[in-house]
Amino acid sequence: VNGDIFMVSWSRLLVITIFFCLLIAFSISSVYSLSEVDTVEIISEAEDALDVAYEAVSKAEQVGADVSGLWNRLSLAGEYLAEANVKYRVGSYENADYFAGLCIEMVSGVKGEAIELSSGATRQNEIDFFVSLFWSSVGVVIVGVTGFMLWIIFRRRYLERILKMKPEVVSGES
Amino acid sequence: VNLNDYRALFLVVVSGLALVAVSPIIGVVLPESGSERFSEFYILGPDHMAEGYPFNVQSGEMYNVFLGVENHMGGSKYYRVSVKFSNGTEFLPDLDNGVSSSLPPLYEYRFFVGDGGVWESAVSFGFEDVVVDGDVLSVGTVVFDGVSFPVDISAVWDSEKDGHFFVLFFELWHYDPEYDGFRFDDRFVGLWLNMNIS
Repeated sequence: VNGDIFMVSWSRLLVITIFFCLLIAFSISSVYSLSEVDTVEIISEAEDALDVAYEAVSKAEQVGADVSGLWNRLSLAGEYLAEANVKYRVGSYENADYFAGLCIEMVSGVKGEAIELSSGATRQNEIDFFVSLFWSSVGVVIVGVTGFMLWIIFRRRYLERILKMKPEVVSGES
Repeated sequence: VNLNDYRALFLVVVSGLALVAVSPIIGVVLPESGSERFSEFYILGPDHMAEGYPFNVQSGEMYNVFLGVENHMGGSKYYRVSVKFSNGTEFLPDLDNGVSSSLPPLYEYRFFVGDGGVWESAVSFGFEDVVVDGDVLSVGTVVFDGVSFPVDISAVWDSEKDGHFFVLFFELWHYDPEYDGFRFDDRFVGLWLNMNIS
């Protein structure tokens, strides 16, 4: 009877041990794959953030805004994102998360600043355009009026000279 | 010369001066005439010259080159360079059809270059776990900028050129906002390498 009890205890212990081993194995596996999925998500988020920031800065540059400071931030963010992708490819998910996070942090607020600079530059462009338009109009009017006056003066002098050259009719003596 | 000739001359001179006066506005309204837009992609040897490129390489050694991109696209651009490794006979980019290599990148660079600007980076690479089995040489690890990437790429002995040939190549991509992603720029540079065991 004692032998049977001993066998039952050992078999129970064996089942419990196997159960816990499987539980630990599945837990580790699920944690590992969760970390990989998280890394893919955070890298994707960093890529989207950088793309959006790039588009905003690019548009601001096209309207003539001074975005040199923002380019420096984007360059650094690009380096972080590349580093995150490299770390991910070699399976270093923790480091990949870290660098993707740095990228997101670096580009946060860039879009807003780019839009602000863009609207400032657009306003300045409009002012510059109207100032140019005003001075160009003034220039055209000055050129036109001066040209017309010079033409009048020239024409008068020209006609006077022509008239002086005209042969006078002298009454003939018979 | 009669008065009508003088009038014509006056009109020409006044019109020319008026054109000069409105030139700032014409500059704003008319679009700039565009020159050819392209990205220059190059690789230089260890002495920063277009010579001395690594060719005969062996396991355990590190090699240095320089990689550069020059932007002539008329505005700042967002670029990506993907680093790939192949045995030189397959998976190379198809430039005729503008298709990049199907190989996954090992390493990558992401950077922004202003119009007329240049990006350049020193690149170091090496190979480890190189084994020869008969006439096949296999590379197990590519070390790029200090990072080890496990690969499993083999090349058969080329009896015509006497060597096991591989190619380390770099593809240039640029971000296209309309496409909402990176597009292959139809440019790549590579280093043909004759691999030897140490």
